[in-house]
Amino acid sequence: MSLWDLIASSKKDDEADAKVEARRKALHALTMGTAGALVALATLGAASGEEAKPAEKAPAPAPKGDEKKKKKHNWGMAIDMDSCTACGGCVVACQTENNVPAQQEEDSEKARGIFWMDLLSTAEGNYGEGLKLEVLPVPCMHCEDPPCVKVCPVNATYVSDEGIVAQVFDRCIGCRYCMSACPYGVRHFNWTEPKFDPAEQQSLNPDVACRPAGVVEKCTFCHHKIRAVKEKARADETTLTDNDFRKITACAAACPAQSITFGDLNDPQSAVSRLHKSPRAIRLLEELGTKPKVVYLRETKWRE
Amino acid sequence: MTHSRRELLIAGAAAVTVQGCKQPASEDPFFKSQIKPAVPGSAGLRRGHQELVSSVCGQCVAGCAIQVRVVEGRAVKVDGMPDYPINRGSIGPKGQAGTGMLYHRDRIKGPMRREGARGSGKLVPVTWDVALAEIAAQLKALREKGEARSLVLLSGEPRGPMRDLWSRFAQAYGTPNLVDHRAVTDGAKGLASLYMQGVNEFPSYDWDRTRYVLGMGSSHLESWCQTIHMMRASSQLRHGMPGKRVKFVQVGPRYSTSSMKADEWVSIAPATYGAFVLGLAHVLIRDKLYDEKFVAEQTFGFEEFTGADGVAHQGFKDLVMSQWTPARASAMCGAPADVIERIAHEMAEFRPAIAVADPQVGSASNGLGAAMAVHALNALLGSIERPGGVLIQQRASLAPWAALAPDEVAKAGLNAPRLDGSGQKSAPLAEGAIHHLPAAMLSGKPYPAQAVFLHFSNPAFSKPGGKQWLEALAAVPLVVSFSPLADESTLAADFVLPDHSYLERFEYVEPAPALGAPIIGLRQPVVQTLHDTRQTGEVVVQLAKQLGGPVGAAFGWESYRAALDERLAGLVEQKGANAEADDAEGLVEAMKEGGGWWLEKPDLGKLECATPSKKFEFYSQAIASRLAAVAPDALEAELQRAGVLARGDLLCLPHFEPPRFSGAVADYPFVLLPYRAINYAEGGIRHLRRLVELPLVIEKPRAERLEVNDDDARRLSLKNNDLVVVETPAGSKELHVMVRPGIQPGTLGLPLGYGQWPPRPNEVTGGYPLLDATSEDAMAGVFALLGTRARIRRKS
Repeated sequence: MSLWDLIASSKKDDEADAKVEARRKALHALTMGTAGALVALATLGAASGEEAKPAEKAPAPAPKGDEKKKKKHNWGMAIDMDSCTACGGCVVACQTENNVPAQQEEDSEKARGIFWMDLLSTAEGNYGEGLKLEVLPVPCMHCEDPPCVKVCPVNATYVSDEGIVAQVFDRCIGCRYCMSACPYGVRHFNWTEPKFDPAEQQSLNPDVACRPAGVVEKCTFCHHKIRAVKEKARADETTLTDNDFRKITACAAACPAQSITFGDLNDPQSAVSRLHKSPRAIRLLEELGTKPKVVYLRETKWRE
Repeated sequence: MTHSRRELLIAGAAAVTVQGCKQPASEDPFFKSQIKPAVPGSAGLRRGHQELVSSVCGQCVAGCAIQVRVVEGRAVKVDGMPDYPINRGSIGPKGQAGTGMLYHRDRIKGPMRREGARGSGKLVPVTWDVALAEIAAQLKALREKGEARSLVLLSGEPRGPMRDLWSRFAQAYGTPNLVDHRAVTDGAKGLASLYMQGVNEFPSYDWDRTRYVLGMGSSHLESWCQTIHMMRASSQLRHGMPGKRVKFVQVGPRYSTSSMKADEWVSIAPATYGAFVLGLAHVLIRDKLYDEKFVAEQTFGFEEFTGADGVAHQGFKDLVMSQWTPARASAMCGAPADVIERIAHEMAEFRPAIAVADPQVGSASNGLGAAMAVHALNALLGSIERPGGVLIQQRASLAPWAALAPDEVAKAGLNAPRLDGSGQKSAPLAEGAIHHLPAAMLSGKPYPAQAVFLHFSNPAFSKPGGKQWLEALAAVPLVVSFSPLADESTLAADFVLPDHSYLERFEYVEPAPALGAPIIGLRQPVVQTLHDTRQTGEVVVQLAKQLGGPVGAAFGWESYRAALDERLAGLVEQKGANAEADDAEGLVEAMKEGGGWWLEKPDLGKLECATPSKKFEFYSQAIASRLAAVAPDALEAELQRAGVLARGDLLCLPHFEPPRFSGAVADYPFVLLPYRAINYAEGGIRHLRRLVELPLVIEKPRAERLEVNDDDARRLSLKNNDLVVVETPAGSKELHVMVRPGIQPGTLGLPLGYGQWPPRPNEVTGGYPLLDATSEDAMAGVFALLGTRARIRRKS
C-alpha cells in the first residue's frame, strides 16, 4: 500500500483516521524541510503505535487470505456490444484524459502508437455471404490473475488493493516482458519521449504524469478520477454510491451510446455486478484463466 | 492549508538537487517539458484552481453541449453536458479532440495580408484597423460602381446567428451570392422536404417512440448532422426501452459502421435507393398496407388529378403501381424481390416506422427523385408529424432583428442572377450550387466575381474541383478568409481575419434538426482568447459600420454581442424547460447553467405544410411551377444536356432513373464510393492527429486508404497496403489499398477528410480531387458524390 493510497483511503475507524492524519502531517512536513519531516515521522510512529520508520516502508499488508475479504472495492467494467456504435469516443476521451500523445505518422507506420483504449475488429464471411464485422473497444482487462504481473522483474506492475492492475511508471525498466505476457496486447511501450508541441502542452491534464521514453504504460481505470471523487466525498462528508462510479472513467463518461459501465464488483447491487452476471456476458480469451474484470455483453438479435 | 502535487514534486526535485545530483532536475529536458508556461487569464488564479465551464461543441453542426474542465486557465478536458437533450452528457471523438483545435500550433495568431504573388501563400501580419479599412474601401468602391452583386459570400454555417448575419449583410450590401455548402453535402434531402412539405431543412426523427427504422445508406453512426444524438438514440432502440426492441434495417452498397450495427443489411447497387423505395411503396399500396386516412386527408397528388388549366396529371399511386413492381425494383437495385416484399410488410406491421435517407441518397444524378421517394414512403406509412415518426424541427421564437430597407443599389444587386445558376434554366430547382461557382468565376459569366469571403469554408479542399477553385480564387481581386487555420483556400486569400476557435467564442447555436422540439445552445468562451483573433460576427458588424450608409444602418448594434442579445430576448417570453428569466441578461446566465434553452417535447399539432395545397405533396406543385417558369424549349435542351430521362409529371413526382456516372464503364470499371467516417469534418480532420489516427471499422487504416473488395483484389493481385494509382475522369492519385469484405465488388471505398497538413500553397489533397465536379443532379443543382467511375492499377 503506497503512501498516496493511505492518504486516499477512507477507513472509518478512529485509529485509522489518526494514522492517516499523522501521515498527512508527515507529508506536509516533507514539503517544508527535512527537520520537520523527522519530527512528523516520529509523530506518525507514535500515532500508529509503531516505531518511526521511513514512509515507504508502510505497514505490511495483511496476509493474503484475509486480503480479499477486506478489499473495499474491486473495480470492473462491462461493455455492451449491443449498443456500442464503434465511434471511438472512448479512444479519444482516454487519450485526452491520460495525456497519451497522438500517434504521429512514423509511429503509425511502425505500429508504435499508444492506445490505452483501442478498437479492435473482427470480420467473418464475404460480401453477400454472411458478412459480419464486429468492433470491440479494448481497454486493459484488469485480470484477477494477470500474467503481466507475474513476469515483471522489478515489481513495476502489481494488482492494487482495489483490483486495478497498476503500473509504477518510475519503476519500470522497459524490459517489455509484460507486453509479451499480456494476451490482450493492451500494454504499450514508449519508444520516444512523449511528443507534445508547446501549444498542445497547455491542454495536458495535471492529474496524470506523462511517461518518459523507455517505459511501458497502460490503462489505469482512471484511478486518479476514482481517487478524486473519494477525496471529495470525504471532504464533503458524503457517502458514495454506485452512481458516482458508474461513469467515472473517461471512456465511460464519453460514450455516446452509454455502452460502458464501470463499478464495484464487490457491491452485488452495482450495475456492473449485475451486468457481469448477465447471460450475455462474455470474457475475452477466458480459456487462458486470466479472469478478466472487463466483460463484453454480446449483441442480440431482433425478437430474440 | 493544502499543497498541490506539483509543488510537492518541485520540492522533491529540489531536495534531490541538494543531495548532490550532477544535473539539477530542473535542467532535465523531460522535467522541463512538464512545466507549462503561464497562459492568459491565469494570473489571478491560485495553483490547482479548476472549474467546469459550459459551452457548445463546434466540431460539427450537431451542437452538443459540453463541459470543459479548465485548470489554471487551461482547457484540459471536454465532457458532455449532463441533461442536455441532444447529447445527454456524452460526447464523441471529434468533440473530445476540441482542445487540440484550441491549442493548435498552426492557429493563425492575428490578421494577415498577402505579400508577393498570388498563390505563393506568403502572408504577413497586419493590424486589424488597416485590414478592415482596406477591405471596407474596396467593398465601398464596388458598391459605388454598382457592382454590389459581384461580392460572393461563402459560408459553411447552414443555420444559426452567423447565417442570419451574413444573410442580412448580403441583403443590405446587395448581393444575391450568399452560397452555403449544402449542394455538395446533403442538399437533395433538404430540397425533398422543401418541395413536398415546404421547409428547406432536414427532418428530425422521433427515435424514442419508433418501432422500425429503415436506413437508406444511413450513416447515422458516422457522419450524420446529429451523430452523437443518433448514437444515443440507436442504443436506446435496442435496450433502452424494456420489452421493446426496435428493428433497424440498413440498405446500401457499402457495409459501413452503421450497417454493422443494423439487424439486417440489404446490399443494393450504388445510387439505386430510389428503385428500392419505390418497390416498397408498390407493395404497401398493392396490399393496402399504407395509412389510407393520412393519405386521403393530408396529402396531395396521390391519385391522378386535373390541374387548374384542365390538364390531367399523373398521381403517385398510378406511377408506383404501373412501374414499380418488386420484380422491376429488384432488377434495378439488385436486392431480391422477396426481401422488398418482406421489409414492406414488416414496416407496415411495426408502426410507427420511419425511413431515414442518408445525404448520399440525394447525392447522385438521380438524387432529388430518390430523396423524395424516401420522404413519400414515410407519408405512405403515416409517419409524417406523428409520434415515432418524421418531424419538422421546430425553432425557438428568437426575436427578429429590425427589418432592413435595401436601397436602390442593393435592390439592383439582389435582382441580379446568382453566379451559381440557382433558380435559372440550368438548375431551376436549386437552392444554392456551390460546385458551379469556380466555372462561373473563371468564365466571368454572367458577371465576374470581384470579391469573395470565405467563412467556415475551404472549397479548395472540401469541394470537388479544388485546383479549379484555386485558379478561380486567383482571378478574384479581393479574397478574404476568416479561417482560424491556414488551409488551402486561406493560403490563396488576400486578407486573413482569423476567427476565434469555438472554445473562445460567445454565441448562441441553433443545432441541426435533432428531436423536433425547439432548442438553442449557448456557446461561451471557456478560456481567455489566446491570440489576436476576433470573432467573425464582430468583424462583420465593424465592417458594415465602416461601409456606412444603408449597410452601416442595418448593423446599428454596438457589437455582435448586442445583436445576439436582441434575438435572445425573444426567449424571455417563452418558458423554457430549463432556463427562464425576466430579462435577456438573466436568461443568458440561466442558459450557461444547462448549456442552452429548450422545450421538452415537440408540439405535434395538425400537419401544416407551406406548400401550394397546404398539404403534404406527393406531386410537388412547387417543382411544377419552377419548371414552368423555364421556357419549354430551353428546359428540353437542358434536360438533354444533363442526360435526364424523366419528362413532364415524372419530374414533379418521387421517381427513379438509373444513375449516371462520369467516365465510361469500359475505361473506368469501378464506381467510386466516397464516404464520410466518424472522424470526418467539413474542412477535414487532418489537422487533428488524434482523429486522423482514430481506429476505423476494420484493420487499422489510420490514414487515407482505398477500400477494395477481396474478390477484386484477388483478381488484380492486390494485397493489403499495396500502393495503387487511382484514376478518374477528374484526376488521379496514389493510395494504399485496404482489402476488406464490406465493400461491394466493382466499387472502391474512399474516405473523405484526409489529406496533407499543413497544406502547401497551390496544392490540393484528399479525396475530392478525384471526384468530377460536373457530375450532378442537374435540375436540383446537387453535386453527385456517387457520380464518378474509377480505375486502379498497381504503382510500378
